[in-house]
Amino acid sequence: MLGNEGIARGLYEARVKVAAGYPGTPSTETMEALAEINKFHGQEIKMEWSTNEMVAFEIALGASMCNARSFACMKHVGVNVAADAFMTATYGGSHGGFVLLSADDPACHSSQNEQDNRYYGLHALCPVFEAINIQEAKDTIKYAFDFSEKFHSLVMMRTTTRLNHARGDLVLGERVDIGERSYDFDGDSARWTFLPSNARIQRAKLLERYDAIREFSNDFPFTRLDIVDGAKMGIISSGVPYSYVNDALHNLGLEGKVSTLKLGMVFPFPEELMKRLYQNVDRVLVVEELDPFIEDFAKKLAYEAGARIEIEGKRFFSRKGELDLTSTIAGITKFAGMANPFVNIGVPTGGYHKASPRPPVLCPGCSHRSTLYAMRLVEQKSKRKFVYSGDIGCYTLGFYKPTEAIDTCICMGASIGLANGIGKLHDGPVFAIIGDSTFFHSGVQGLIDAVYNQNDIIVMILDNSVTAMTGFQPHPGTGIKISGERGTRIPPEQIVLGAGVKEDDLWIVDSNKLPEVTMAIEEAIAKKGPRVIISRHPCALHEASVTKMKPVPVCIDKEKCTNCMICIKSFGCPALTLSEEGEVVVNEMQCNGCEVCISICPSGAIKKKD
Amino acid sequence: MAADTKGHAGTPAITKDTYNMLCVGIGGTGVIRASMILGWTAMNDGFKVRTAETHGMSQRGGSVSSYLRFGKSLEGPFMMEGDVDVLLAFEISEALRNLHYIGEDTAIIVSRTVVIPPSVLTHRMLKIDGEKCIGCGNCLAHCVPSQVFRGHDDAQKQFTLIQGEARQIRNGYSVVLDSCTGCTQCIIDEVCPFGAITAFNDWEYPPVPEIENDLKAASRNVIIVDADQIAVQAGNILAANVVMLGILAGIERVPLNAETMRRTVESFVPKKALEVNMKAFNEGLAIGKNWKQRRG
Repeated sequence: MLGNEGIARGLYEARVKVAAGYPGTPSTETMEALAEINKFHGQEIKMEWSTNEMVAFEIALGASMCNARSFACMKHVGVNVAADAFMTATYGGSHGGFVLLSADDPACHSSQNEQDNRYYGLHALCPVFEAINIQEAKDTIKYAFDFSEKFHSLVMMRTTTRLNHARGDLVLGERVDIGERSYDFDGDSARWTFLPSNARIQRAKLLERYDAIREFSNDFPFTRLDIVDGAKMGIISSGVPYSYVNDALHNLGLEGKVSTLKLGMVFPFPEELMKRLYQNVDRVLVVEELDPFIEDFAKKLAYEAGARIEIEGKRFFSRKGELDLTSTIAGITKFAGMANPFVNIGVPTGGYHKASPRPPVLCPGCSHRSTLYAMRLVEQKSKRKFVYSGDIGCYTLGFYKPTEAIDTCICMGASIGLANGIGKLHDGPVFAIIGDSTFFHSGVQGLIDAVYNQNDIIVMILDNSVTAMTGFQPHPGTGIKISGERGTRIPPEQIVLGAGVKEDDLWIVDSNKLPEVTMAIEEAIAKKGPRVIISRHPCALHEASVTKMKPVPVCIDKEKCTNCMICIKSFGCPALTLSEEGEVVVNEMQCNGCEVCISICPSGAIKKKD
Repeated sequence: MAADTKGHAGTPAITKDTYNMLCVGIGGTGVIRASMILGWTAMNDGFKVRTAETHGMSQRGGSVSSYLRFGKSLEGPFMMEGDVDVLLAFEISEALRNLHYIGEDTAIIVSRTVVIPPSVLTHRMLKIDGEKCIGCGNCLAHCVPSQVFRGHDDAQKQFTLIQGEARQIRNGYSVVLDSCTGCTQCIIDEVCPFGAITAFNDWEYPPVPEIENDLKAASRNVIIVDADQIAVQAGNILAANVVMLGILAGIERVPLNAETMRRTVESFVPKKALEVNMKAFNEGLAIGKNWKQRRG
């Protein structure tokens, strides 16, 4: 079972009542799996894909105020979006159990940064739980709701990609009994209305709660201290890195020779347990990914407790990227001053050919390719320098050759904000390139700003009618809800016009009709002020999976083809490639039949297969 | 998990406490699916199983790795570099990319599938040696992309024209502009009398025979097969990953029961594809067994 599926099972067993989230790797499958479970239980969980993480967080919080066990699901950077609500919500705490899933992504497998969200716990005084494997993830999140209700505290469950996207065996549990509950709003207005006078009171309550939890952290059921009599060395770890510690000690034959403290709650810290470890060993190694979160506190605590021991961490482990068994063994052996017996077990790899890099590319038939290509064509013709302010989504891959039509990508919705800034200065057309789901998420505000201030930008909404990058989740523009039922569809153009963009400054084109797209871009760059082009065509992969129709591939007329390579080198569709003889050929397995290449071939050599 | 198949005839008698497998390839070659089948097989054989995948953008043509460990005593999903028992490569250059996981005794099962990354083609460039070029313009007249543009003046699709000519004479020298497609026709036709035009590519895909040589030099236990062809003969190219699994079962390097694996494959494929997949599995199994026999 997938880690995220295990977490979803834990939510089901905990009798979650309301769950909201925004798709983001590696968190997405949690909501999808829960929605799947929900289908078999009469949709008893009220679920939704929200427009963004802040809305999702607020929905879960609102439900908690109504005594419901509630869950908000997002990736690490999504917590930044929700942070405004989060930082104050911890003051009021929870009524019904509240758990926030923060799925972190060390090594940036699918993210723009690798921020360490354990610091959010410290920042907001919110307890943070971590699990070492899928079983524990399921059990921990299930327990988190009991904990949240016991202490009236929000809980952050922090996972990493290696847990969310790991697979392993899982023993299912019974659903908890939470009795009959009434879900009416609790009416405790002073607790939830953070006027300064109320906020000060709640701040004091938060600190009281924090102290109680700090005390309890020593008894946290998923935290374990194993003191080995006579052991001079101790290790503190948590989450997936602890599983590497476990395997490393096994491989090194150090099992039962090192004292270990495994944290199930990484914040607040179990001070008593840590002190007990300090009393029993001379040296402590903290094994954690990313920043020295535990290490810094461990050192501080040792100083306060007057423990004269050596504490190390990041001197032996990288602060960048993720750990694995190899690096964990290297760090432990180095710290222990022993030779690493596994350092040369691999074959020498020098002297062989290097495999060519394989960066991800836009899929065959991707409508974004066609739009980005059109923009580059118009740019070359206009002999002006375009700025392509990009955003988060598949189209960010347009950064790579051959289109190279993405200049920036910071965070969700930033394309329009950045373009507003660049447009004040840059001499030439400034484009904000944003996908449909991202536009709903947080692009709208930037557009309103552009209209209000009459900023000189062109917002290019690449509407493929699905949240494609994370695996085809629906969004307001599709009008389909997470359950698969129909909601209300909100076409982006309604919002664009509603935001005050003039009808003459809005173009809606079919991405796969190149002349249409280029014409719209040419018209748009000739004008001033806030302009919007909606380039729309369904995601080729999603469409194929929905319609189940076999696309009709294109083929090459060998008589006409001059092998000029424009289709491969300039357009860059992966379905077009070179045969061993060096001729342009179509990979029919890959071709999605979008037919855009037919119109870019200068010799008319590409045609639809009969 | 019930160990109902434990001790069945055909379970290789190997005793270690943990076994490590690494499945690599690219999106769409069945890596994750194969890894899931292996995971279930191990689980059905009563082992504890851990896998991790690196596949964030696989659907978009990127590399995929699935780390799979099973045994009695293990916790994390990663093995040590050099400590892989079997490496299954569903695309040949991906085996090369993961050589650092191979140890002395690693068995490597490789499909001779070649998927050249599209980015390799887009990275091919031409350069003109300024010392040799005298600016005669011969290449300009022969440039295929620029000629086809000229011949296309009247076409209604204006956007094909604006790519312009791939070369221009600037300061008496020919230069390659952005719009050169690297088609190398000018080199093939030897249009430059001074040999000033050359192609280069910093992202070259190594020639397949050389990849094979590298793999054989790196390990004594390499099986390279035309898994795609075997699958096509069995009835469907999509069964190529099942061929690979059959080979894995045949070589008996890890204690997974071939019969359990066959049944797990059965549970994974749709009914109508069952016959094809069983045929593919058996073909693979025979290759694996044959290899093992020859090794003695």
